[in-house]
Formats: sequence, C-alpha cells, structure tokens
Amino acid sequence: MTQFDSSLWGDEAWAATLAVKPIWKIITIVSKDTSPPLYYLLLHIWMKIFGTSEPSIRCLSFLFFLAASFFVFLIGKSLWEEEKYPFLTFLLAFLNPFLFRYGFEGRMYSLLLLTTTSSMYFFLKKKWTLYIISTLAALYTHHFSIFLVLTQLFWIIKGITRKNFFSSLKPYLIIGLGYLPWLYPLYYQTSLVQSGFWLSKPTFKSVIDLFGNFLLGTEKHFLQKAVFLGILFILFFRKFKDWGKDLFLLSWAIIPITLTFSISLVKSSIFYDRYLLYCVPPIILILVSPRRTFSLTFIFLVIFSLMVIDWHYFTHPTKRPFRELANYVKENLKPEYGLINYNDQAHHLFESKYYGLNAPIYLPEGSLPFYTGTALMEEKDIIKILPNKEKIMVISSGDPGKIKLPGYTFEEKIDFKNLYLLWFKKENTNSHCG
Amino acid sequence: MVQKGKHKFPLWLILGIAMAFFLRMPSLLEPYSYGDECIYLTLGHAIKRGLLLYRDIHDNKPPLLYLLAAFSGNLFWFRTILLFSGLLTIFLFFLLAKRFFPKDEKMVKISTLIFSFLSSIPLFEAGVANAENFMILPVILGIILIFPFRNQSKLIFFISGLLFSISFLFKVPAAFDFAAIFLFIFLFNFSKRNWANFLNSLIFSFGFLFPIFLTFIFFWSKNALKYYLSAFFFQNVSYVSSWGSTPYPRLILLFLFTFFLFLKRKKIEESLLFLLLWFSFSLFGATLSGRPYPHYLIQVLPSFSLLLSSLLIKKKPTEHLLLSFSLALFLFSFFYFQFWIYSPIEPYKKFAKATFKKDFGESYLSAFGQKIKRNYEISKFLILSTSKNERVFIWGDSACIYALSGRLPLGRYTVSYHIIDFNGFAETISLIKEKKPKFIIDLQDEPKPFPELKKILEENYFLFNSFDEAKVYHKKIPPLY
Repeated sequence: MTQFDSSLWGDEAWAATLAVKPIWKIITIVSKDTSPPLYYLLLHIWMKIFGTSEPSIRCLSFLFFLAASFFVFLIGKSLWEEEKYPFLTFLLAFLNPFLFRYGFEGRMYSLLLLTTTSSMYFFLKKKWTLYIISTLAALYTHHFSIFLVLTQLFWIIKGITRKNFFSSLKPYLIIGLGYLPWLYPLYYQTSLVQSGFWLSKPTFKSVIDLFGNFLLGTEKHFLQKAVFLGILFILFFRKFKDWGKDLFLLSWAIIPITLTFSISLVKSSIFYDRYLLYCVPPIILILVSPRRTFSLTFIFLVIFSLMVIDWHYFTHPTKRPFRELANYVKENLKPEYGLINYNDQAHHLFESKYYGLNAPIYLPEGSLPFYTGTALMEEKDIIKILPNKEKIMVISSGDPGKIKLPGYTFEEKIDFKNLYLLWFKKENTNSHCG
Repeated sequence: MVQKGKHKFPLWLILGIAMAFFLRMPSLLEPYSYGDECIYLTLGHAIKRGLLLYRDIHDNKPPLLYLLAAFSGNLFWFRTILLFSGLLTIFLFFLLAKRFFPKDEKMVKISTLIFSFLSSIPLFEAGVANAENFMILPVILGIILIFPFRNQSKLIFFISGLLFSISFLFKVPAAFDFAAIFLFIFLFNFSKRNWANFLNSLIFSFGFLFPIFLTFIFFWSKNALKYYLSAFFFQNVSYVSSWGSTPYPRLILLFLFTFFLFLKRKKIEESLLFLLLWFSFSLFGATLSGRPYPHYLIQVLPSFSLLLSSLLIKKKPTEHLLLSFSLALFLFSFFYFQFWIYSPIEPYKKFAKATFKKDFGESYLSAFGQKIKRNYEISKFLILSTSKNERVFIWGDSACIYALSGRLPLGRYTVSYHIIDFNGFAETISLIKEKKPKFIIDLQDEPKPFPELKKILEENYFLFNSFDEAKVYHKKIPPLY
C-alpha cells in the first residue's frame, strides 16, 4: 500500500463527500465552513472524469504538487540565472518532506502551494494578467494566501512613486473586485473562527517547531539528522552577496508567519503549520542559491536523505485503514444490527459516508462545534437516542474502554490499527427474582 | 637541508607523519579490549601451536590477518606493526597523490594531510589492528605502480595484481578495489590502446588470482579446502545479508553510476574519472554488509581524501557535479548505515590521565570498562591454574581471555556468537564430553540459552571461582576408589 491508495481520513473524506455534490450546493455548503471553494470545484470536475477512488483524489493533489515544484524551479531560475544546475531547486522542493506529505493529501493544500508559488513567479516576472489569475485562485483556495498578497503589496508599496501609483496598484484593484463575491462568506467564516477554534495559542516554541516541520517534516526518521546537518553546512557555505533577493525571499517566508502569529496572540489562534506551507519554497530557494564549491556536496546529502525519508513515507502510510473497517462492517451488518459513530475526540462520519456506511454520530446531548464539519452534516447524521437493535456496531478511534452505551454491554473489539469497530449487545432486562 | 617542494621527504610530510604517529601512539598502550582483535590474536596463537586455520580454529576472514597476528604474538607488537604500517601507508599515499596531482604540490599537500589525519583518528578506529588498516597499503602501492595505466611493463601489471591479491587476502572487500582498477584498464581505457589494455587487464587479473589460487592449493593439500571455502567465501556471502540490509539496490546504483561514468568518460579528466570509479567501488565494498563498524570506511579513505581535495581545483560543471555527488554519497552512507561514532578524544583523555598519574595499572584498565578488568583477572587465574597447552571452554563474548592467557579454546570457535551463528552447539557439546576440559567459564553475558551446557555443568562440574558475574567451573574429580 502507498500514500495513493491508503484509506481517506476525515478531512479528505469531507472534501470528497462535498465535491460529489452539484456545483451550487458545493458553494453553499463550503461558505458555511472555514475555507473558499476552488479546490472542491476542481475536485468535482476531476472526479467526474477520473472517478472518486482514493488514488484519483490524491492524483489531483499530486499534480498540483508537481506543478508547484516546477514553479519553485522557475522562480529560482529567474532569480539566479547564472546559477548552474537549477533542477536542484525542483528536486529540493519536490523532496521537501513537509510539502511531499501534502502532495498526497486529498485536500486543498497542494493547490494552495501551486497557486501561491505561481502567483509569486508571475509577480517577479511582472506578468500581471497571469499574476491576477493565480492570486485570485490562491485567495479562492485558502484564506491564508491573503498574507502572501500582503507581502507582495508591501514590496509594491516600497517601490511606488507618484508616477506609477495607479499602474502599481491596478492589479490589486482587480484582485479586490474579483474577490468581492466571497467577501460575505469570508466575513461569516471569520466570525465562526472567532467564536472559537480548535488550535491552541502559539508560543516561541511553536515557531521553532514550525521551521523544524518545514525543513525536516513531521514524521520521525533517523535520517533527519543528516538533513539537519546538510542544511547547516549549506547555510555555512552560502554566499550572502545579493541582499535584495535574499530579503525578498525572507519576507515571503517570514511575513505570513509573523502576521499569523500576531493574530493568534490577540484573537483566536489560527497558527498552524499546514496553513503556512507556502512559506517553505522561499526557504528552499534561500538554501539552494547562491552556492560555493562545497555547497553542492551537502545539497546532495540532503537530497539523498530526503529521498529515503520520502520513500519511507510514501510506502508506509499511517492513515487509519477505514476501508478495511468498512469492508468488515459490510460483511457483518444485518438488519437487526445498528451502526453508529461514537464522537470521542474525533468522529468518522465522513469516512463512513465516503465508504458507503450509514453510521450517524451518537450525541446524546449538546451539539458539535463547526470545525467538525457540521456544514456538510444533515439532520439524520446525528442521533440523540440509540437505535433499538439487538446489537450495535460502534466506530471509534478513541479509547475503547471509555465507550459506554446505555442499555448495552460491550461484547467485542476489532482493532484496525487504532481504529476500532466495537460490538455492543443489548442488556437482558428480564431479571428473575428468586 | 630540506628544500621546499624538491626534497623526497618534504618537511610538511614529516610533520604530517609525525602527527599521525602521535595520534596513533596511545593505542599502543591500550589493554586487550577490542573483541575482534582478540580473536585475531587467539587465531594467531593457534597457528603458532600448529593448528590449521579454518579447520582447527575458526573465523571468517582471509588468512593474512591471522598470520600477521601470529607473527606479532601479542597486542603491543600487533599494534606496533599497525602503527608503522599506517605511517608507511601515509608515505605511499603521498606518492599516490603526486601521481594524481603531478603539477599541483598544494593538492598533494592537502590530500596527504587529510589522509594522514583521517586514517589516524579514533573516528575510524585507526588504532585497532583491523584488516582494513593493513589492506589499504597494498592497494595504494598497487595503484602507484600502474597509474596512469600506460607505458608500464607486463611485469608491473602482474606485481600490481599480486598486491591487490595481498589486500584481498587481508579482507574480501578489497576485491572491489581490484574490480575498479580492472574495469578502468579493461573498459574505460579500452579505446586508447586497444588490445594492449586487454592484455594488461588479463595479466593484472592473473596477478590477483595467482596467490588466491595458491591458498586453495595449500588448504587442499591439508584436506581443509572445504573449511577454507566455507569460512572465507560462503560464510561471507551470508554475512553480507545477515544485518538485514540487502546489497542489491546498492549494486544497481553502482552499476548505473559506472555506466554513467563510462558514457561521460570523454568529458571527464582521466585521473578524476579513475578516482570516481575507484571511490564508488570501494564505498560499495565498505558498505557491502550494511554493518555500522566505522573501520569499514578505512577502505574508502584513500580515494575519499583525493576526491575531497580535488574539489578545491576548478572543474568543469559535470566533473564538479560528479565529485559532489560522490562525496555526498560518502557522508550519506555514514548516516544511512548509522555508523558508530566513537568519541574522538576519549582514548587521548584516558592516555593523558594515566600518563599524568603514571599509572597504567588497574585504574587504567577500569577506564575501559569493568569487563576488561575482569578479563585480566580471569586470564591471570588461567595462567596460574592451567598448563600452557591446556584448552579452556568459555561461553560468552570475550576472546580477549584466550588472547591474554595464551590458552586456546576447546573447539574451533572462540566466541559464543560463532557457535550460535554457525550452529556449532552439537559440535561443542560433543567436544566438551570428549575432551572434558578442567575449566569451563560462563561469562553470563550470552542471552542465548545453551541448555546442554547447563546440564553438563550441573552434572560434571562445580563452581570453583567467580569474577564479577563470570563463573569459573571446575571438573568434578572422580573418587579415587
């Protein structure tokens, strides 16, 4: 099994379940969630052509990721035309373990990476029409791309004169107009997030961890030591001669992080590594150029190590095997049995829907927060009373020992690598007094 | 007077060799503590007492290292020979560097000093008499004789082949150094001198195979060819894959790299082309088993030092790319195989402490671990309690007791992992039953159970003495009547 064909996890399944709906419905539903609609619309078209299987969904992300790596290469080439071996930039972008991970995730992140890197490329090349298109695409993919646009605007304002005032700001006026239709959903979504989000307040350590994740990836691997050492030496041998370009790249990497960090301190926390993944390409570009004689050895060391790390990640998917669980349920489910999702720290409603299981969330009291995907839920997806069945199958990834169903006793646990299918049997209420 | 750049022994070289001498010197006074070295010395003792290698006493390396250990007699002389062979290797490397950088004295200096330093530090276990330390000397000499593979007589090619054979008879991975040279003469250089090169490569190969063939004849004449082949060939094949990493992907990578070099051979300067080929083959040889012992990398140090200094010379883009690629492969291998990293200063700290205290006795021994002190005590006990020709059986991983006491193991195997790896349990038990050794020592450090041994100890032996955890059992004496 590889990252292409492993089971979808919750957020991926949410995206896939949404994207099969009609276009207008997609826009309506997504406007009540936390993100813009472009990825879901593209996925909708893609799935119509290539089907709804896991590899098909992830192939789209992978293609975005490949194209994004190509744009990183183009940016490197346009910044340092004299530099030899520009393909190394492509390789380092493609092999970056943090970006690589999202290259196989059926969500909007690799599209965010593609649209932001293409926006930056056209910005640098001053190809304004393509810049407007790619920037709008970025804004319609993820709200965090606004921080990139602000960074670009900072450089535009820095170079503004009375003469070029209108011509400089014209692209931004058009982008603003293009974004108008999403202003109200943006306002609604921002209000939702302000009412409370699942992320905790960032600290200085969060920033260090963020850079660690960006450079070394989030999964532990013994070769991360080699990557770290390689990066230190690459920086040591780097020529710091072209401060203008370096500052530009630094601003691309630092401004969005600083803004997100600051907002998170004063408002609801929105500081999360994957929302900022478009800050990785400038770090790669800073590392790879311009070089001294010895740099290339350490670039190769990093490349070799990343190849092994990524290959391991690609061939060792850690996503919960929901497909196997769904097959088990389909084989064993009878009309007299019930099937529910138990809402612990997470629920698996959307995986259930994607894999064709009708397993509502059992929620005896209270309601679910918006960030659990409520925008896509229907009334029948949540039940307050357990179905009156002889046996109930419970889907959960929480601690099985803590799951209690009133009127039912635990019978058996089937373990699918930290994803559980628990059998509960109706308690016998006919007691005999002797 | 030392004339700069013209003298055969320039001052910087003398200083470089002196540096190597001082870096290696503390190793001469180290106690018997390195397991493999003790195995070599034990086999050396066995040879001196007339036992036939592989048949009567076992290890899985080719014979020359054991012969050298036999010649040395003890650890001090073994390491002294190593020290001087190391210094001679540095001098030969200097001559080799002159071949590769004939017009660039700076590069000769840099590469020789790099080699002198790397081949002398504890990071690569320079002070331990492992085969790799001895193996590189004949390889370097063999290349000096024939490089740049032109205008050399057939005899020189033959002698060079002999030298590679000597290297191979120290340790099998030297075959990859030989293969690199052979390929270069036969294939990469082929178009230049056509059939002359073909003939040279054949003579070179003949020189390589001839001594190996002689060893076959020798062991055949002693009726021990099957033991020889099994220990030094078949067991090495299983050794290669016993660490859980298969060498085949690396073999494919080596093939692809060689093929790429072959395609680009006209765009790469000849000496660099040869260096890249030699380096890739020796790196493959050093990582063949995928085991993390740092002394394996000694095989790569000559070509690595030359490549590293080559980076300082302005190169064509393709050359620079290949050079950086190769050096990165070396660094990557270090991390990928998780080579053990020994403290670079620990041996010097121990040496300095003992020198200042003027005490190379018990506290110095203890600095190397409690087990070392225990081994010395057990050895002393064995010397006092057994006659010189008496055999002892030790169940555990400490050949140093045999090497220190000069006593030989009961059977072919010197350490418990040999018995386990080669399934020598039945052979060992029948030997114990037959020879009934006076002492059996259980070091209590072998987690693998040996129930038959336990039974024999319970029935026929009694606990005679203990040294820390180690237990010395004495044969029960039958009643006189």
